[in-house]
Amino acid sequence: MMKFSWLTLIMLLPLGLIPALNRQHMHWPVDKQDDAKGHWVFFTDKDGVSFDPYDFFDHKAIVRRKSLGLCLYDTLDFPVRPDYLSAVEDIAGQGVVASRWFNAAHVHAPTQKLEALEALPFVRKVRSSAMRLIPAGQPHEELSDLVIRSRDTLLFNAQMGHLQGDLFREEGFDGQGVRIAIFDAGFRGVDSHPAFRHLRKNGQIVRTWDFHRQRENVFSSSVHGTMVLSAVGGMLGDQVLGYATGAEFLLARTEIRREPLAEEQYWLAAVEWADQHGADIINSSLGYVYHRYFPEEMDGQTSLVARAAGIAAAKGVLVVNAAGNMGNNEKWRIVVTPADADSVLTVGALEHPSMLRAAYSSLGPTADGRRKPNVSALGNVLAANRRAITQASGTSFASPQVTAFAACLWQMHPSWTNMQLFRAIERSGTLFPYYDYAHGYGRPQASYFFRDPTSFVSPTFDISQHNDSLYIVLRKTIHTKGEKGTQNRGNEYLYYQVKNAAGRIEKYAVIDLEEANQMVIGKRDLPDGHILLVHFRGYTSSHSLR
Amino acid sequence: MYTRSGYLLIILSLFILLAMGHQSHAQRVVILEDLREGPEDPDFGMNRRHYRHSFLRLHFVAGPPDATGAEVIYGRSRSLEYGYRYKRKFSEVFSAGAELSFRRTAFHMEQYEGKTVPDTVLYDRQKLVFLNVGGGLYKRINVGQRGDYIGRFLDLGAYGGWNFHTRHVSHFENDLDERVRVRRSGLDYPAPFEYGVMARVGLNNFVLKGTWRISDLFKSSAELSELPRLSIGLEVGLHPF
Repeated sequence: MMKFSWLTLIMLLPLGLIPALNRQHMHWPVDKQDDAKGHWVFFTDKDGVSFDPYDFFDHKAIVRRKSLGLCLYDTLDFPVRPDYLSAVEDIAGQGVVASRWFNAAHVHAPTQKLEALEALPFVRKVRSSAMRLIPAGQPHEELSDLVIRSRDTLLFNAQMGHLQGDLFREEGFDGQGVRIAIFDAGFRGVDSHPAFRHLRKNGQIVRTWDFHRQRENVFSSSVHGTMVLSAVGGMLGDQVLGYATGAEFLLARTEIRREPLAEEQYWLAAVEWADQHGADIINSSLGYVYHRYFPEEMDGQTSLVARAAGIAAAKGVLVVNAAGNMGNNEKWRIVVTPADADSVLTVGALEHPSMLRAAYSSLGPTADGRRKPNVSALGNVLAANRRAITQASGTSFASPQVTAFAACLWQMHPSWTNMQLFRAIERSGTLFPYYDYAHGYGRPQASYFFRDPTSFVSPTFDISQHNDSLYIVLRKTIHTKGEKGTQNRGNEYLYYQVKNAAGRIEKYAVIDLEEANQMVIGKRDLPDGHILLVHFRGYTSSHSLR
Repeated sequence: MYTRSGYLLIILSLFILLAMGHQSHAQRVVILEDLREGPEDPDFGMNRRHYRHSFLRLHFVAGPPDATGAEVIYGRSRSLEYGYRYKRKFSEVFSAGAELSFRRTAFHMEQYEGKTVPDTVLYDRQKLVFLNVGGGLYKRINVGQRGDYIGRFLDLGAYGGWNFHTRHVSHFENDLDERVRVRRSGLDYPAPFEYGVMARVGLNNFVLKGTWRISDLFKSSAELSELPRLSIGLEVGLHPF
């Protein structure tokens, strides 16, 4: 009888806690780590603050705004009221990080102090900020010296050739005059590796900041950012590793590698910092996933980082983000955030040599049905590691290649706005105007910007209807046997999709026709009112069943 | 009967047909995504309304016996358990659930003068094995905001089960210097049912669990000292990270 009473007591114990726990910002007796949990404190106003854009912004940021015809500043740029910050600091203690754009302060406060913070008359709301940030790629297979080995030549040639970046270089475009901010987990070895000698020698690394340790040195901890920087603008002797070798760089360490729950405040602080210091392009090879969000929240509106990326884009910055490496994850195949933001140029990864989506590359559409990723690039790269040249894979390394592409293109067309650049990069895709959620518009191609604008692609196939089927007949039979594994075969595949009457893609596929010259789409796959869109060798055509 | 040229014509026709067939069918679907299938069950997931997963647990007997004479060899006295768990989420903080499991527990008895459980005979080695099927109910308290993720949690609950098979195993040397192993099952002194309380703290797939057996393992009529009631172990949730 006594034992049973004890059992009952144990079972009822949690119920006794319920009233206390259901109070907002409850007192939590067992969670010692809760003391270190981060929270955002949002303020009600910025009344009475003063702001001088010429004092606050880097000259480059002023030039960017003027050249794009943007206002020099808006209320988002106003500082957070210092008296608000002081009051928060009095309650939460030191270590308060302010966000101008969100009119908020990030604090590490014990939960019992949250009620006091919420009670402040100028506090609009308080919300938790704990989340995990995942670098979208991993280095592997370290080489012992600083040469491209013969066995890596095919991959390296594909890496340097698949976006046709040589055309930019031949015309003298190397990103000069464009400032690129790179957000990553660390840039170990950038201060010593030969691949970045040109950047150091010419003072192209303009600013650095470690948002976790609050210091300038970002050249320790992770090499992930080192490899990303290499894919943007690294150079070994005369050998280019990334095409934007002439660009300027802002390097921001925004992720804590060893801490399981990193926080989004660093990403937010970094994007404001990048804007302040004149970044034209932000490359972020990071993304937030299920540790903090649900797939249905990947709508470009829910996460703070997606909203911050949107603000940066509104201020004229081109934000390029990796799509994420969740493509193999059955519970989360969708793009990560902030890659879900509408005005973020989201980059998926392709595998070598097929130039089709790498299995790990996250898929679109966004939770609200928008098109993501926007474009794709090779996910396998050779990049400078701390001391060597390393092969790496992930959408992390696809994104910087498109960033380098964008830098060269912006140098070529300095009058374009960030969104004009965005659309131009999409239009230059190998698949454009065809689109699918695995490849976006395909690989951006530099040749698009050098060719005769009146030129057109000759039809490569015909579509005809017989009874209840559509026949797609190639004009020239392809012969690919013997070429497999040796060449870029991206153009040899037939892409097709079925759209419903509302224009939403219901089904898409990539077919290796091998030596066939036709394929058939039946009525079952193409119901009434649906449209078939087919792409083959640069030519796109649509058809529907009559 | 066909002439020689007729045969040649047939063979040639077959060859052409085969070639055409090959040409028209030699295609391979490399990527196919059908978005009409719709999203997966929005109510099922690690931090959604319903979740189920299996688990594997290794437990070590800990704590002292109720009385002298029932000392066990710690470390070797352990249980291995495989089970299946259901979790129902009620709020961001509270969940509850039930689980079913199969468990094998072995108590390795210390051999010393004064030992009384299950007998006073001294062997080289001696163990009592309990095979149990049972279930449990638990309440879960989650800590911290999270997405579709198990996160950090504390579980409090109770368990019970049926010891459907018990066995006594002893190893010794007989008078002929032969090593002998004796297994006896269908013991009459173990209690058929057991129950207790448990607590777990976990982070995602990894759980530290302690159980306290409230019931006695032996029938009161057997008048045997009770074996240690506490066990502590590690559990791994067999689900994605």
